[in-house]
Amino acid sequence: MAKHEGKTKQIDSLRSAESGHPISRKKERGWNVGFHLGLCTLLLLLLAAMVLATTVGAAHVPLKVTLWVPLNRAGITHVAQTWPNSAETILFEIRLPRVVAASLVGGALALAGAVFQGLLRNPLADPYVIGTSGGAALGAALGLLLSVHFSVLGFGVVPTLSFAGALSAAATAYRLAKVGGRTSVVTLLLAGFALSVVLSYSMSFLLILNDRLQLNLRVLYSWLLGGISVTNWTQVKVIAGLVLTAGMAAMAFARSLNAMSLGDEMAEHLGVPVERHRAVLLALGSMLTAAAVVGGGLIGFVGLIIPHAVRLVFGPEHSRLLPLSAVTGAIFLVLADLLSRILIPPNELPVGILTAFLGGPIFLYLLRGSKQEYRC
Amino acid sequence: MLSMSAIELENVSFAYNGRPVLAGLSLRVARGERMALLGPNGCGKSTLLKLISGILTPYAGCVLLNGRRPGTIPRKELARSIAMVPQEFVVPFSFTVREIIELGRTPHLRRWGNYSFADQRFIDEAVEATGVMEISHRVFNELSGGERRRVMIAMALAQQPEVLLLDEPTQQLDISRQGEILNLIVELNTSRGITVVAAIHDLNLAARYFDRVVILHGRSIAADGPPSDVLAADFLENVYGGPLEVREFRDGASPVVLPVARWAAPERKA
Repeated sequence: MAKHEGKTKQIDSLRSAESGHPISRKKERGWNVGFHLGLCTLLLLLLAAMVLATTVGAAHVPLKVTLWVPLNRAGITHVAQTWPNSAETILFEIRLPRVVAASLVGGALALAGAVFQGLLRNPLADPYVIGTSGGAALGAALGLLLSVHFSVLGFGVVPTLSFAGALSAAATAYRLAKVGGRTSVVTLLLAGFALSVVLSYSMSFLLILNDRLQLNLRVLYSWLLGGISVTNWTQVKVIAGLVLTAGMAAMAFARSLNAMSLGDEMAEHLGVPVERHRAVLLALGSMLTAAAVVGGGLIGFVGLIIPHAVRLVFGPEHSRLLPLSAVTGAIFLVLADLLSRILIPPNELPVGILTAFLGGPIFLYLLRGSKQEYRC
Repeated sequence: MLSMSAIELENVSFAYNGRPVLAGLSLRVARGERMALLGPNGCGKSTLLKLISGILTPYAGCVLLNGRRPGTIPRKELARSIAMVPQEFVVPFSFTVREIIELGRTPHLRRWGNYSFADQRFIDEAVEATGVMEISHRVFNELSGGERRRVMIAMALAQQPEVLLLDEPTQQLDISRQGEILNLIVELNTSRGITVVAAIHDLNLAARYFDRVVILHGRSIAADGPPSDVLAADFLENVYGGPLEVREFRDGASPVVLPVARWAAPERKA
């Protein structure tokens, strides 16, 4: 055996001599900013973005109101009120719920996107990939066309039905893709795609059949393009409950996602019960997506590009990728929502247009800036 | 009596969609053994490895790892004692070499826990044992075939397995890389006592680096023993279905098997 060992060592020394790679600890992928530094910086940026978004708007609200009112209301500080009541109402009852909702929706979409991309091993996956968009759209259309009025936990007919539609579509896609107790990633993608198409066209069909087409089209169109529609704290609490619970649960499966990136069999060899964890992660991702749909309709692009942007800077390891994507998505949507309010006053732009306009160029810049060829 | 075999297969049968692949196969691999699994294309080498690792379950007979059925052991616990190096895996994202090797610790980590010092030590050790130190910060997908295979072995080592299964570890490597990888496997087996079962295509490499070879043929084991006993020309011709010749290697250590050339070899110039 000494013979073998001797040979191995000899070959090793030969290899390192001829390979010519300098022995260095330098990382050779993207920028590789440290995780903790990155997370702290991003959280501070999120806070700054939220302060900015609550301060800026059609009505003038002094910065001190933005800073003190939330702290006063939370009971942390007791600064005497030196500002008009109207400023406080605009800030606390109108702008702040919307900004908080935007951060939750953005975070949920980016997180769901990262989960689906890892789970389906597909860089083109987004939160809507397993049929949720079609289900949500059909639900929204039904909500507009049915002349019923009800509200669930402070949400009207349209958000409630699109939430239900999104979740049922995802569950159906999963059922369709499950053959003999197993799901294949490709079948799941195809089932999701086919289901989404069928549901979207069912929505169009319903609209065509309806007489009040003109009336509903604008409302539905802005829902489909996406826009934060949250107006009060009750709604924020519901969305926060859904997003935080599902988000934390999804992050607990980060290591399973890493293993699943290497394929089902390899993940099994690494001790991950693939089928069970996949079902759980699909449910959590769909829950995050449906919660985002409730708060903002179908906002595109965030869930697709934010995880990629984060991967380019911080690498693909999921226990870092998931939290960083969530915070980055939150920052991005808070800013996009701010712009959608102030760009063409007094009208609002659908935020989906802005996420595409803002996200596209930023993403392309990152893509060009990365030192190596992009391989997600 | 407690079974002393690391791996024990008793009358195992398996079929894919009703097409039988293995029937009534029995095999024992002792702890610390180094075994090569040989056989023609499609004879069930990979299937056998998957049955041992518990990815597949036999429809008849039973598989025992240290006396326990893989199906009754939780996946995570199983992954702490048995590791698999597949032919290749495709990584859709740009994980670095170090990150890939870290994934080998997955079965040892708690859900929210980070890598402990002990984990880091096992990772460093795996990096060192496989000689991937200088490439540890490169992107896995951009490595050459030989480098990738080393990293895959390092990942398996980080699992601290008692049993290491390898599916065609030398496929698509040039002859020197083949030697490197097999020397590495031999070293892990001899210095750490890891039980090794490797499915290998190349009879000569198997003969040179393994002290036990098992030939799968006709849905079961056709021969089992040291290479010099098993690799006989008429037996192999029957298994592989073509004319072969076996020559003794000069030092007599391992036989060499070659296909018979249909034309006479060109005359050597004096």
